[in-house]
Amino acid sequence: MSAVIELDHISKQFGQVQALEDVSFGIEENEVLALVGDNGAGKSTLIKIISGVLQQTSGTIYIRGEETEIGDYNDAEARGIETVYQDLAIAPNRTVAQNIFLGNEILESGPLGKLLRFVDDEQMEREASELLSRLELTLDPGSAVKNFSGGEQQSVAIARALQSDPDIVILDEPTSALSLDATQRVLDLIKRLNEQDVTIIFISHKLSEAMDAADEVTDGAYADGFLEAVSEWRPA
Amino acid sequence: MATTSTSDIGKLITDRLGRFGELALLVGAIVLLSGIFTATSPAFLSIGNFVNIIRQTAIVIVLGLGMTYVIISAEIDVSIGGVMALSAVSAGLVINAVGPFAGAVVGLLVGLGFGLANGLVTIRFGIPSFIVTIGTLGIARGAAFIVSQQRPIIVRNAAFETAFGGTVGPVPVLILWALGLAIVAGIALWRTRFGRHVYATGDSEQASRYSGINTDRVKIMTLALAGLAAGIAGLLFIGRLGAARADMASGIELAVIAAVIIGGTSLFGGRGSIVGTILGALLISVIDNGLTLLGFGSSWQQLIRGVVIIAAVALRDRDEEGSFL
Repeated sequence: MSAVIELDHISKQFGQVQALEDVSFGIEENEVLALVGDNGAGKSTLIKIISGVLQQTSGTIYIRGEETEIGDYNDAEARGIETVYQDLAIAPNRTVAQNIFLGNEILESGPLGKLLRFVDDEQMEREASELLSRLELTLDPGSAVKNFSGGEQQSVAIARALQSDPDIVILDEPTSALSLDATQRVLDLIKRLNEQDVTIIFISHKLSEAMDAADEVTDGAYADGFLEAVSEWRPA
Repeated sequence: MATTSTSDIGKLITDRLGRFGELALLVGAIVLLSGIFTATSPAFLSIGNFVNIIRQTAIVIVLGLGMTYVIISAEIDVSIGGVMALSAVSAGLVINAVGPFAGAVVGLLVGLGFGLANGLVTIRFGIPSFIVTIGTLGIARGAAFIVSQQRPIIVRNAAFETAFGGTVGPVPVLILWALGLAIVAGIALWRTRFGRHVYATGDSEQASRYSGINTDRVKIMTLALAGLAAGIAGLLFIGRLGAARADMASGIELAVIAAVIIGGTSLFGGRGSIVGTILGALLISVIDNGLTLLGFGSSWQQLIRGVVIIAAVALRDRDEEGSFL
């Protein structure tokens, strides 16, 4: 089986600072891969490269075997890569449905609606409701996100990432700001996503969480540091 | 099976009814104040005075439309008074020299140009819009004095007066312009993808950017719209008074910002509505008009307006905490 995404000898320098050096790893279809490392190990830099926020200094990214340049966020989305960031990147006064379709709003189907770019709130709420049901989340799609707990808000962020039916979802420390209870709910959600054949890269600095969530944890990651660990891991 | 649920149903009800509750509160305040002013000054409740209030409010509403977009996107524009004056003076000169159509186009382009400049400088140089627009307020006001040579520009053009200063039946065209523009701005903000991106940008710029929304472009466009609204207001001002002056609309930006804030728009961005801005502007006009009829001068009007702004924001902050409405 070929890797959905494969990173080949990726390095990133910020001036004199070497943030990533010769990182190579890949992830196969329907797999949950956990990348574990301490703060400052380069996890976020790596994620930003995959999601198009930063560009690597050297190395190559392959998506389904094809060499790919990911220039920006829209590039990443067009290639089926969605990222959920650790800092609850949601719009609190917007509703659950509006957050799920943020930047990707459904337009009314009539000619006038298309011409004037009117959004179709009913359709978005309907589709958001279906998506939330599929994830077994009982959130009112018409309610403002600020009304929900941290774990629920993170679930909305994850649901948003799934809205476009991506090939890969990257979860960048999705539990770092959450309570124990909320963390467990998010980990349960990740397991359910995996059962629904979603391919996930899960970033964490907590080994126990990573082992709970993932099929594969990069070898010796916690002890030796993230960069070395991902360098050693190669897809079969 | 892990499920999530809302912990506070009351909060949900507040959320669903809060926006309408806030608007209903504003309508209630306008009705209550109108009742008090009618009881104390019979002249208040007359068609003539009602039209007068609406006419006084119309230009603030037009300026408030652009300002609502700007503040919802978490920016601010304090240059609109100066830009409005420069637009009006420029338009007046061109109307007299060339004709009404060319004058109107020049007035609108001056407003739009200043708005675009505000947006581009704010975004490209990373300077807060408050600082940028303080600068352009001075630039536009100074340019208005230079262009007009510190003299009022008298505009006598029948076509222009009909378009911007006439009446349709008993209704002043000024009011129809304000109403029409408010409907367009309200629908665009509430129903279109751009309007949703304005809300989202102000609510969480980071989340919006992560979702692929070009927040820089959204902010530039809202500031450009505020400039365009200032240009339109300049034309309406000429239509109403038949003249443009460099010192016109001095301090109007504070009245406009007050109307927008009283109307429920959050200074932190992400929340607000055109209907709220209209009601906020009407509330201020009712207070000003009623106090005038009772013999209180502009000093009292400013004082009361200050109290109303603080009270409105204080009440809304309590609403944010879930303890009000």
